[in-house]
Amino acid sequence: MSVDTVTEKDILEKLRMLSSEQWAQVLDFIGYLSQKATSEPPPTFARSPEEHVPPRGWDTYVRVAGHVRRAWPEEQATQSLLDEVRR
Amino acid sequence: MRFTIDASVHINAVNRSEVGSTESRALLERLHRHEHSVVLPTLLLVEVAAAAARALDDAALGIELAQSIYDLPGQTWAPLDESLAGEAARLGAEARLRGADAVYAAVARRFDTVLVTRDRQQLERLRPLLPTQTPAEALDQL
Repeated sequence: MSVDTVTEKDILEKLRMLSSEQWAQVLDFIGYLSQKATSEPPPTFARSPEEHVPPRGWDTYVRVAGHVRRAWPEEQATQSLLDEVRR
Repeated sequence: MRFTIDASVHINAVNRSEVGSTESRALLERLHRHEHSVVLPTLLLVEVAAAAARALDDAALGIELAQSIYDLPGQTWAPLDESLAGEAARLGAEARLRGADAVYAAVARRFDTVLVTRDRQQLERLRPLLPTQTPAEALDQL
């Protein structure tokens, strides 16, 4: 079946072939698709070869890191924070 | 000498009241101002963004910090492909590492770099396996 020619009827027929035990998975997937359609695109770190990127480097890092440093909560230890992120 | 920098160094560098923050900042400045060769797993971007966003309750600032690290000069980014994952799996199993720690270890092993970290478990478990230093130790070498 070509993706371009999928109709509502095709989808409903496929859904009828599933057992009721799979319905929760179908709802999960529909929820994922709905969320994906409405949320912002994720940040892209990779650059395309033709994309012109102005030199940012160290000076930009210093500016951003300075902003983060001023906002960083005093009680937040690096080790415990990374233990949470890496668990 | 080439280096792999753990996320703990980057986070410590912005954690101004924490012990070692001055050394972590000084090391990053020395590495990037003088364009020493640094090889990093792309995982670092995820960890920095997630950790900073969690600490600051600010997703945009977490991503901005990760982006600014990505744009630093002199860095090579190593993605976690199947081959590197295999190496990380072996190191992780042998040294009983956490998954993220094993990825850093695999990058350091593959690219023959010194792993610089403030993470307690990495320092304990990786020192017998590969060159591992604290930021203060790495600063002494530069």
